[in-house]
Formats: sequence, C-alpha cells, structure tokens
Amino acid sequence: MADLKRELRLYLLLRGASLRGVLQYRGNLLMMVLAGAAYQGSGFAFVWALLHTFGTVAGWGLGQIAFLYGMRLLSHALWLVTIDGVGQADFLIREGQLDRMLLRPANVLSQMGTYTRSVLPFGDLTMAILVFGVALTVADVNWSPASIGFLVLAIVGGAFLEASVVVVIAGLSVRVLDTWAYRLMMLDTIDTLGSYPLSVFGTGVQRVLTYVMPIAFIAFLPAGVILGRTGQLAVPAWLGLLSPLVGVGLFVLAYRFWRHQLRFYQGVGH
Amino acid sequence: MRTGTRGYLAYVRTAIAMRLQYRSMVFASMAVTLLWIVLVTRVWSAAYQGRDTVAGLTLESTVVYLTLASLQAVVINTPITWIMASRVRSGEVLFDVSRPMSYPGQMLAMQAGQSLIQIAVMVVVTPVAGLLGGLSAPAGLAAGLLYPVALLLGWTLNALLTLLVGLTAFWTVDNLGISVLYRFVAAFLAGASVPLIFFPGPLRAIAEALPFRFIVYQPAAIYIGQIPVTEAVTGFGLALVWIVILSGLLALVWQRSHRRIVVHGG
Repeated sequence: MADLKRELRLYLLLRGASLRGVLQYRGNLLMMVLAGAAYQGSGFAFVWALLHTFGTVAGWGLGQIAFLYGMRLLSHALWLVTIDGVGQADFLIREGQLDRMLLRPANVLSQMGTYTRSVLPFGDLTMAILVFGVALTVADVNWSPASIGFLVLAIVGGAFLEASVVVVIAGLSVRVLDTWAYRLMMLDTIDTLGSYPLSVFGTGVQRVLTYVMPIAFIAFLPAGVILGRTGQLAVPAWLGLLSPLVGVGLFVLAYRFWRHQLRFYQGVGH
Repeated sequence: MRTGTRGYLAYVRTAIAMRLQYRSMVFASMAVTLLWIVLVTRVWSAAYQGRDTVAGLTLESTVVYLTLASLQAVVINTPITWIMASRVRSGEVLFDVSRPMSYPGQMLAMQAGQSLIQIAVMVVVTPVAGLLGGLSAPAGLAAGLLYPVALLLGWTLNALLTLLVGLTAFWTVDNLGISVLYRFVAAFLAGASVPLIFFPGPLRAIAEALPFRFIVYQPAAIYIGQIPVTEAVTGFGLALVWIVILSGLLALVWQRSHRRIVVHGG
C-alpha cells in the first residue's frame, strides 16, 4: 500500500512536469486542443447530420447515440489524459529513453505514461465533455444512485480497456521496435467501432465484437444497460454490467504481458 | 524547361520511395478505410430502415456513394504537411529553397508521389471495398467519363489546400494542430461520410460555398448520377476558378513565408 502511494505520488510529480513542459508552446496549444476536438467531433458530426434526416438508427435516437458516443469519448480521453505517453513506447525505446527509465526507482510504465509532448488529449477531453453534456440534456435516462455509480465505473472500465490495447502494443515494441502502424490501426478500429450502436451489425459481427475483440464492452453494452436499450442485441444484455470488470481484467493481463516482455529488453545499441 | 520537369519528376519518385518505406503504414491505412466502409454503409442501411428513397437518393446509390467517397477521402490524409514542418525544424528547408525550382512546385510533386501510392492501393482494394460496402457501374456513359475529370480537379484542390496548411509551419514551426484540424474538417465538409444533400440547411449552404466538396462529394455524386451533366460541367468551371484563386493565394503566402525562414541553430 505504501508502495502504491509512493508510485502515485511520483506519477503525479512526473505528469505535472510534462504538462508544464507542454504549456511552454502557447502558440500551438489552442490549435492542438482544437485539433483534438475536431478529430473526435467529426465522427459525431456524421451521426448528427445522419439523424437530422432519419431520426433513429437501429432504434437509437440522437440523444442516445450522443450518450453512447460521449461515454466512449470520456473513456478515451481518460486514458489519454492519464497515460498517453505509453502510445509512444516504440519511439521511447528507439531513442534510448527506456534505458534512463529503467534506472530510475519508479514504475516504468508510469514513467512512459507521463512522458508526453502533446495537448491533443485535452481536445479529446473537451469534446467528450461537450458531447456527453449535450447527451445528458437530450437523452431520457432514469437516474438513480446505482445508475450514476455504474456510469462512473463503466467509463473507468472503458478507459482501462482501451489502455490495455496500448499497453499490449507497448509490450510488443520491446521486440518489434516499430509499432506505430499497428497502434494506429488498433486505435482507429476502436474509434470506428466503439462509438456507434453495434446493433447496426448482424448477429455474427456483434458476437465477434463482444467475445473476440471486446470493443462492445467499452461503451455500447454499458450504455445499453443505462439507457435500457436492449433491442436487436445479439448477446445477453446483462453482459454490459460486467464491463468495468472486463476493462480492469484486460488491463491487468496487458500489464503482466508488458512486464513479461520487458524482461527481454535488449536496448537498441545506444 | 525539360530539366525543370525532370527535377519535379525526381521529387515524385522520391515521394513514392518514401511512402513505400512505410509499407505497414500503407497496409494499416487500407485496413482502416475498409473497416470504415463496413461501418458507414451498415449505419446508413440501418438508418434507411426499409425506406426506398430518402432525399432523392436510393439506399443502393447511397451505399455506392459512401464506398467511393471513403476511398477518395484517403488522399486528404497526407504526410506532406508533416514533412514540410519537420524540414523547417531541422533546417533542411534551406536546401529545398536554394534549388533552382519553385518550393511549392517541389512540395506539389511530393504530394503527387504520395497520392500515386495511395491511389494505387485504393484501386487494388476497390473490389474488396465493393464486396464490403457496395459498388455498381457509373450511372451512365457521361457520368463515367466525367468522373475521372472531377477526381483530378478534386485532387488538385486538395493538394493546394494541403500546401497552404503546410506553409503555416514557416510561422509556427509546428503545424500538427492545424493539419489534423484540416484533415477532419475538410473530410467532413467534403462529404466523406455524409452526402451533402443530407446536411441540415445552414451547414449545407456553408459546405456548398467552400471548395472542399469538389474533393469527395462532386466526383462521387457525378458517378451515381446525382448531378446532371450540365450541372457537373458548371461545377468543373467553379472548381477551376477555385484552383486559380488558391494558386494565387499559395504564391502570395509562399512569397511572404520565404522571407520568414529562420533556421534553428543551423
């Protein structure tokens, strides 16, 4: 426990330092936040323009899709704002930064996570709050202490689930050195499939996205639980309740994979 | 004149070689485009919900539009702005501007090389895209003949806009923010995921007034027969006017950025 507290304190210290570094480039700051927002906002603009004409997609109205989209974005922004540096693992290894991190008395993943030069995550966060805020005023939700509690857990679970993908790719970077194409492909896949009602797909695809590539657990299944939307669902609706556990579980597995790979680290000849 | 052309062709070849160095990147972008085609066509099919025609478009034509539009929109995503910024930062831009060739011309040639690979990959995966989304023959002979012309005009407009975005690096050193912004705003306003006729009124007016629609919407809409021949030809005229305006603007901005070059500790 004392160990964890120490790691947490070190994490906050490093994160604070990297953010102060980012804030030095004031000219780029606003542009980057706007870019992050445009990145995530363009996907929502698509849904908005579509529903303007059609009203519903697979039974989901604008408010409900905004709720789903906002939930996914909050999870996404949460992992980015906390440990987005992990996404640069291959670069950090090639540059020899990992050697320096291995020598310091702090968790290596936490050091990587705090190594950042970007404020794009804050654009994601801005957009997430905006879309989710709008969703809350439009979507008809039966709020109760239990549903609010579940919402928070589900968003955290979604963040863990997305982060676990990046941590696995960081583990691969120890062996492969150049992983940005894989990372981009995985993150784009999650961006594409994580934010829309998967009931637009048939039974087979829905099952694959639940049991094989569990993208449905990031937002689609838990949002369905909160909104009471279980129509056209090809998997049991109660699975959505498990989403926080699925997220944390996958992250633990990903972390163990990363630790295991790290043992094979050989350096890149600096 | 001849040596000039040869120089620019060398740039095209270099850009092709650079792109081919990042083969896994090419593969990833192809996979993501195909995945997007699957999603976007399913979402639209679900929205149609058995209705035959909405806003004058059948589901079948909409699906063909979306498949083509997703493939066409790939050219909007180019590393050229990043290359321009990194050469400003490293000081290599000094070699670029001291060559006896126009700097915008060099970058345009690089963009052409990049796009050639992107387009080649997209042509190769078109049958797969057709299976995953949906494709059909062009709406008629005229549509089939006008489509490549529209594509070429759209490519030129996108290249000019991209270079303008890239040139901001001469002022701000980094242009990542504005290029990401351009990529997503342009793709949306170009109609990459929603045909312009489905845009809500005011947004449609904005999108119609801006040049982005010529990159994706115009060619794809001509292909599915949504735009009649006379209107298509008028559109080409308008696109040419845009090309002239943007070329002028590019020359003007370049003239000003040329004076601003600061080589960092070179």
